[in-house]
Amino acid sequence: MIERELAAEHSTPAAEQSPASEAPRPTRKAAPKPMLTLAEFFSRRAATPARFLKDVRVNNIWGFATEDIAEALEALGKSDPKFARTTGLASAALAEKDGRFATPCLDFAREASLARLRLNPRYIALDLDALESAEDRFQAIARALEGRLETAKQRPEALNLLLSTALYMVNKENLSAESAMLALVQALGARAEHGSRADVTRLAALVAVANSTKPGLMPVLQLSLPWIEASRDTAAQADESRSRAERLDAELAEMTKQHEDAVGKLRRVQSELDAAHEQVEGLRRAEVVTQEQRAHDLREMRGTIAGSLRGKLTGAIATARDALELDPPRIPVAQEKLEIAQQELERQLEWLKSLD
Amino acid sequence: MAEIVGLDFGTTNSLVSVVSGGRVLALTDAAHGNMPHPSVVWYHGTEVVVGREAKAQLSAPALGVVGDVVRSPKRYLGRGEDLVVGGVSRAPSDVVAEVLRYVRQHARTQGHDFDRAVLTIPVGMDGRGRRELRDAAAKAGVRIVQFAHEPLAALYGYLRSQEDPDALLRELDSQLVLVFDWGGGTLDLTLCHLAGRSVTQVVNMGNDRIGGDRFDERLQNSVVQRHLDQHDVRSNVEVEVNADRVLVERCESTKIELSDRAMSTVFVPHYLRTDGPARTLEVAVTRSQLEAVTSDLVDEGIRTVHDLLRRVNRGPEAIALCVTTGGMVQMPGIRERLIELFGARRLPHIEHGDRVISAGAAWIAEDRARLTLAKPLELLHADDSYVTVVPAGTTLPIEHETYHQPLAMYCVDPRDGYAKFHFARPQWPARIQQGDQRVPYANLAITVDPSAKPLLERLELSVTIDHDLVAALEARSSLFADEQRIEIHDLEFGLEIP
Repeated sequence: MIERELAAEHSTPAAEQSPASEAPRPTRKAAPKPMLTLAEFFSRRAATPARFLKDVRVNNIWGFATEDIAEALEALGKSDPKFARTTGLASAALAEKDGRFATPCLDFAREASLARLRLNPRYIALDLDALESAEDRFQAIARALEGRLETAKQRPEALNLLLSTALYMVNKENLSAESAMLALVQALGARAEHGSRADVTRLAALVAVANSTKPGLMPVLQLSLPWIEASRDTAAQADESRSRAERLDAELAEMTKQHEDAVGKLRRVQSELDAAHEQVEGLRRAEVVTQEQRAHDLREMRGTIAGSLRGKLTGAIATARDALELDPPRIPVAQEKLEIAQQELERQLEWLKSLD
Repeated sequence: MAEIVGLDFGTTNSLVSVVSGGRVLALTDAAHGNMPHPSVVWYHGTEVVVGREAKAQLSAPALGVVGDVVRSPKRYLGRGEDLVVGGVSRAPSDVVAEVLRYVRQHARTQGHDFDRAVLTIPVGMDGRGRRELRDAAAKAGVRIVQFAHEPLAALYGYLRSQEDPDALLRELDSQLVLVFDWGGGTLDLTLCHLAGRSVTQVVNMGNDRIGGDRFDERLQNSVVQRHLDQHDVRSNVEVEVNADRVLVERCESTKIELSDRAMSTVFVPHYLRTDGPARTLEVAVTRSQLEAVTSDLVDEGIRTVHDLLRRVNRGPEAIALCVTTGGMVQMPGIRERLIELFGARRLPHIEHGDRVISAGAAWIAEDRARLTLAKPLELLHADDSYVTVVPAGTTLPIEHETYHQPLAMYCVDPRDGYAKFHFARPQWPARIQQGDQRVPYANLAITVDPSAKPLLERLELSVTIDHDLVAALEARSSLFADEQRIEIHDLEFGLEIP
């Protein structure tokens, strides 16, 4: 069912003529009346988005009137119960070369999908405004639709809603095509029993078309899916590694700072220690000098006394003794020398007293 | 850093001093009354005795070689002759090394194991003497960091002993200072000029006829003569063994005693080898008698001062300060004469005047004061003007340093085949004019090409001053390639005060 629906959306002019289409095939004789409003597009069950867009282009219409939008939205529950046509319209508008109807169609699809999502209690419970990134918001919507994707009956509508939302967010809210694809793949891939590999491929192609007009990119993107996922894992790991490196950098910076602080403190302590050592050394030198000077002064004092004893005193007494030992003794000489000795002794005593 | 001491290697005595904690410590001989060590060596058999014990062997206060004793070996340095001591030929540097080794060993016993010294030398010691003295010091294990002339060391020692040396320096700026050094061997006078923080020698004069030993000799002769007269001894009477040595000691004691008292008796029992009262020498000597027998020596000393002043056309009033050192200045008669000459204010009493040279050397070592060239070394130009080759004030080399100055000039008149160099110095150290009187240093002649035009032949001259303060002058002619070299050994020095 899904395959058919999506095939219709991507149909070529040949595909539009396929008998598998649900829309009634117009007769050749009576050319169908051009569709100039959304209401008309959705009211005609067989109308294709490509045809609708061609009609409005030909008739020089650049947008949709508010009443038209309201009317189309009003009838959308019946006219597009599986939301396939709305999604197809948005997709076709994006695929056009000039993108003239991309914004009006996407805005309409947005309004329509919101109206439809508001019927989902799990969606209502979401607080999308709290989520900062488009990726998070898209994944939240995908999770809100998880239950419906598991039910075969609800699955087409849910899938189309998801696709429509993806198209809008990729083009209007900077949701990356890769993120959209991966979220879609995860939403579908987790329920493989309900879908098929072809679903995934087509979804990827759809989003790729929405995001790129280059025809050669689609197969590449299809092939690249596993690598994209792997690269995201790698990127996530890189992010983690980066953040870990940043943490380590921060820790290293902190440790470096601590180390520098410690080194600075060590230097200060070393400097204080050096100053203390210098002071101690200075005191030690001063002590050595003082001891040296004291020893010298003591030696000088001893020398002075020795000089006195050895010089004047000894000489005078020796002479006095020589004078007394002679026969007859030379008393005046002995007296003189003893007087000299006495004077010298008194002089030395005075000097010793002066040292006190 | 190892200690650098000041070593006063004097004619009669040697003394080591060190600066410790801002004080000068003189490493005197404490066992003998804080006296310096006599510069005497006694070759006693295989034993070498130095100092007081060696001096005690002398029976007369003579200098030089007496038997196997050498007193004042310094005076033999630089003569190029060996000494014959007790019949053995000895190099003067070996004898000097014994004295230096002894004072070094003595210093070691007082805790000062030095191997570098600022060594003082007399002004009259020329470059040859300085070289030999350095060799002698090396033999004793002493490296001479710098020579310092005795008068400069004495003046520096006096300045550093003042409470405010800078104030005294300011007071003496641009003035003349006389260093009066009357020691045992000689009277040395040096007139110094102070300019800022620089001291330069102006003129030196020495007199070795009136050393302190002459005073002792005069006293001894006088005492002996009076003794002989008292006892009417006319015939030749022998003196008892060792009696002369006792007489020397007793006369020295008497001389010292007469510093404090008016009279002292020289008493030597058993002096003459004779019977009767003449055997004992007993002569009373008064201070005036001592002064009378030595007055001509003192007069000659004072005359030497006048001669010195006359040489520079100055009177005693031109002397701002007279720094006295040497053992003789303690003699009251000499001090009184100097006070008469200069007045007491200009003749400060210097405590331990006999140590001031050693103290100055120690301060020079401590302060790293450097010798400078007192007067410029000049070269006479062809136009009869003097050009400076080495400027005055040039810092002179210390140990292992060399001063080198190359010059180039051209021969003005080569006609006689010679280029002649005449080197001289001004008589006065400061404010030198072209017309000032010069004192010649040396002449040098080199062969040049007589056929060359004037100012063609280039002459190269180089002046090198080594750490022995000897200036070597080398000249070379470029065309004739002749080379000649002479040395100047009598440069005059100053001291830069840090």
